[in-house]
Amino acid sequence: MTDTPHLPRTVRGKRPAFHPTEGVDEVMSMVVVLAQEMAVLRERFDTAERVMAARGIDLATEIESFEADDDVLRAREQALQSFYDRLFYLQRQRRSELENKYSDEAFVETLDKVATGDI
Amino acid sequence: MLNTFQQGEHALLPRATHDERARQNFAKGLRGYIQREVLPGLTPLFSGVSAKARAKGDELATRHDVRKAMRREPYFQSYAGLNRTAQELLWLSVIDAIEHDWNRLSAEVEARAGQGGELRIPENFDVPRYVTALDIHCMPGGYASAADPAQFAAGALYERGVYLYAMGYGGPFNDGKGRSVCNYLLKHLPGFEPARILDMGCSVGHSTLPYEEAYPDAEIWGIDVGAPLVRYAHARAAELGSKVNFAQMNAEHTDFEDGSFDLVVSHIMLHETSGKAMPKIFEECFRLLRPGGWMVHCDLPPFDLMDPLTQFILDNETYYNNEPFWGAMREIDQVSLAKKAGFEADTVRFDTAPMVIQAYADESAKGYDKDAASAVADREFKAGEYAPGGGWEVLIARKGA
Repeated sequence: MTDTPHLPRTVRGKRPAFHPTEGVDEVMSMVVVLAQEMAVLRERFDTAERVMAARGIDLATEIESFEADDDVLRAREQALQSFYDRLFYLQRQRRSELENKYSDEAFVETLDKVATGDI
Repeated sequence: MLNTFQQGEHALLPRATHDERARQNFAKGLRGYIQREVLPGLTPLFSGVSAKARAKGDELATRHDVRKAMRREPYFQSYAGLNRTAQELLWLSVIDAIEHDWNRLSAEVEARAGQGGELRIPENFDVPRYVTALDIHCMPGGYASAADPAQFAAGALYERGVYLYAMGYGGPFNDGKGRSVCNYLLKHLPGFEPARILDMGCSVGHSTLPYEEAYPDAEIWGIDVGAPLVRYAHARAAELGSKVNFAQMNAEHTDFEDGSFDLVVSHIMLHETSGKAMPKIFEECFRLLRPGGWMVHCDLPPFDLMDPLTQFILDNETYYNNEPFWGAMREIDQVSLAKKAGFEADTVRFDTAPMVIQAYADESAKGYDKDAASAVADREFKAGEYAPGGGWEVLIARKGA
């Protein structure tokens, strides 16, 4: 028995840039990985349904006929809205910048002022 | 037709968890999807791009001209980027499984020491630079990775990764290329009964094992420059009940004696060597063969009869999949090279060994039913897909009697 090695996960050789805008390659690969994880979860849930079915519980049908009561509806809607907040955290930041008139110029100006002791 | 081909189970195959398997399945399916649904868009894209170039007085005459024009196109960028990501995810999904299954796997490899055929791994061995300069086909660590002291992980990674890469088209034990060449030899060289067979660049022995079935009385050797590959190949072969021998050797200069083989073969090896190595390999094949023996290399056909778009699509492997010799090898006159090495001029030729996917239809392997196998067999494979042309190109040559 040997200790589990840490196998390499990076590749010798420069990875080409495919998209001309910097960062898009990274974003694209992250999107595909997220899609992969979504497929993984879907498949896992599919297995769960089938395991339950084999034990006599028709989870798929029960899910379809499930009636959410008011408490469930509220809890789910809250979860959904919180998810949007997390998903669109950057849009929220951008909006606040528009509303507060934050700018790159103002940012640099602040750095200067802090450095020179103006504020 | 849905591809539900499943790899044949054996003790040396990394066992994935449910989620790891799903990730691997995603990578395999993504490759198929890109080839089926995204790749075809490159043809109309190129029509527009070349028309625009022509209107400006530019002719996209070579694959390099095509590349320069196409890589500015967002559709091509998406295609190539997605293809690369699919390749990367394929390996990563297997590495996870190997690490988590490590204790079981290493015990299984260890248990096969002394079983099966011979295994020769020398103390000191220089792995050629063309194999180590880049991680070929983006396989992290490469063929000769030293990341695991037990020295078999690269083999386990290749075993599962290549199955996913080939999307199962090579059969449950990924031996399609070897079987194709064997069928070709049995058909075209009836009565040829090699007593000793050498498979160069054998990796984990995918293509080597079928020779045992085709020529049951032959002594068979598989050699590769990667120690983890031949160690894994030996264990895998023993597990599958094979007596094939494996050794870490360089195909440019093996340790075998002059005239000691009747048949020297290779499968997708040459395109992972170099312009300097290839002539030496042909000379080594000549040296190793007995008079009347045959050399067969199953690899990429030359570019010469292909249009620039096809060349460009095939050549994407060079630029985007760490296959440094892929394009250059297709420009080499392999027939001349074989003649120069001494092979009988009128026996040197390229031919096609058809894919054998239908041979798996009757097997009990999961997913390989008749309809699915026929769908692959009947499919017209195009450039950029796995196995363009639906068969394997073989370069065949005989040493004069």
